Amino acid sequence: MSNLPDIASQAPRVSASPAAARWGLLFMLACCVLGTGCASDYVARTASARSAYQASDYPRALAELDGEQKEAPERDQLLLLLDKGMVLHAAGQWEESTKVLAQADDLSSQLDITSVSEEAGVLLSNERRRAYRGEDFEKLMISVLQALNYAELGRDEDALVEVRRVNERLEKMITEEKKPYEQLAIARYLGGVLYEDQHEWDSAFIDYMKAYELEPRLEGLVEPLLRLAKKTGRDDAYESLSQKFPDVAHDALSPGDGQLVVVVEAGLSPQKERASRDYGDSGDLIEVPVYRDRGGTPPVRVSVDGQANRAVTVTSLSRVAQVHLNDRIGRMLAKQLAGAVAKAGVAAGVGALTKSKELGVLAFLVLNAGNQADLRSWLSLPAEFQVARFRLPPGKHTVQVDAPGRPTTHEVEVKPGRVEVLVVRSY
Amino acid sequence: MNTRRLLLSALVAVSLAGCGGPRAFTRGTYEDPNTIEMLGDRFNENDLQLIAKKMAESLASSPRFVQPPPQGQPLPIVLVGKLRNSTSEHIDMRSLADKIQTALAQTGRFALVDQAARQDIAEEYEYQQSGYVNPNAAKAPGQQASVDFLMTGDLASIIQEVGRDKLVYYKMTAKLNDVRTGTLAWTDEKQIRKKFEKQGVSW
Repeated sequence: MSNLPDIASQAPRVSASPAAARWGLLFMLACCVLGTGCASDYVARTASARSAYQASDYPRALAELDGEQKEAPERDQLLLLLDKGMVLHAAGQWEESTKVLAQADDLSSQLDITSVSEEAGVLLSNERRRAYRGEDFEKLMISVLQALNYAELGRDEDALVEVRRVNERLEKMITEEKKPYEQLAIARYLGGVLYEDQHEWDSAFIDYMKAYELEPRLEGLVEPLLRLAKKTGRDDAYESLSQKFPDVAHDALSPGDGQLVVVVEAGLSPQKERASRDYGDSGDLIEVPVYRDRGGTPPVRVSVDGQANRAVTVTSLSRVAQVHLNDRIGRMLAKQLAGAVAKAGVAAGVGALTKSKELGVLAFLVLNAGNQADLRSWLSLPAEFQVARFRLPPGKHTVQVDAPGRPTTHEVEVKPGRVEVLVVRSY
Repeated sequence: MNTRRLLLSALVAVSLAGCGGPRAFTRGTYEDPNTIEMLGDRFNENDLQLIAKKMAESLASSPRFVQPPPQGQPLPIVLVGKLRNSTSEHIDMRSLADKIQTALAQTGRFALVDQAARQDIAEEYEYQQSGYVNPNAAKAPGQQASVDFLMTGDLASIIQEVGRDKLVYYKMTAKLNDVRTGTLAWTDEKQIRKKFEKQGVSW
């Protein structure tokens, strides 16, 4: 063992040439930036789960998402929970859906805090490296879906809690954060339905009225507004609504009457795409996403006991998503600009360290090649919330929902004096 | 800072970003349940205790119930009924009702009837009448006490957020209805106001 130092001293010295060191450094930098960003993104990895979901093959969609949950990085956990919660919701597994969406809601609150280390990393790489936090409307949709889940479970008080949460959060965004949003008509309409079910007529009228103000195309749903304006003694509102809708019958409900509200979640929510038309591999200096619609939303007709109504669009997520993303574009551009400056700084550092201007430029190109717009979004959401409502005698009824190519039937039980909610997913 | 360090810091930051996401709690200790801890901005167990304590004390010291019934007279029988949740938080109202029921029982001024136990008691009657139990000792339906008072209530909240400050206001209103006359025998409210400063940035 004593001759070891001698052997070591006789071994050939491996000393890297300055050129090799420079290229090694650049190679490391490229691996670090590109390697971390090149793991296939969530949207691509879950394409198969989404196709199963859109084919209404919910068990397969859930199995695929469960498989993904084991592999997915932490930054995609929120999206996974959102998708899983939506699939369970569409499959009618209301209780399970409430649990998963509650987890998503908690995670979303935790992620609301800005992480300095994460922001620093994002500056030098791209937005996809950031834990997905959800667009504002997606966070609101958690509560809308939860409200529908609870309504289906007959837990009206919990459903109303979620409706209030949507309204309060939006109020805060609009008044405190000065965001150019408006209240969600579907949340207000659902609030009206739930209050009416609990015989809180004033609160029901206020919410129906707000929904109507937000979405004046709700003419087909104006009947409860007229009926409750009359019932609550709001003479001025009743007068004005009667003049506007003279043909809408709105007789008072008899004690034996029940009502059915069918909420159709129709179509596919818009998808994020790169704003630039160059779809090559090299990253642009500034990369921001835009929302693009995924086909039209099919017209849906709902019929019960010979009564047939066209479902009326209460909220279009395509429109809401656009408004919410547009509000964020300014901040996104500012961050991208800061990222470009930071990358230029690092590239200058590489240039100075290696004493090579060319390597500095190359380092900037390598860093910028990883710049990609974050195209993740909650793709299992519907494009629209549509509503059809019926006045029915108590008892069991068969509801036929006719969406092009995919008619479905559902059994409901209507109780006297109550408003039953039926949620249907249509693609 | 020299260039080498700057570059190293940048690379470390990039690596750290890959770990972006929530952190899990991995260690814990036992705490005194009476200690007031405000770890979050939601309705917590301390609010539950404050409401139950106030309601029980207020009811026991109200003019109608402040004097215990004369010797030989039964205690007023109270049923804690539906407490409504009108807040924008999911609050376990059954747990709140149980807390109030416990606090009322501990005053020694009331006899309580547990609504949740009624189904179990009905099943117990069936069992005791099934022949397994000594027929002379078996209890049968028809002798339950009739409730004198029904307690109802409503929990409402107002939440205000200004900048990084969040103000949460809760108001619990409880009512004791005389079942015989339908009149209100007592009512009171408990207000809770909490202020929080939100964390906006973490490492």
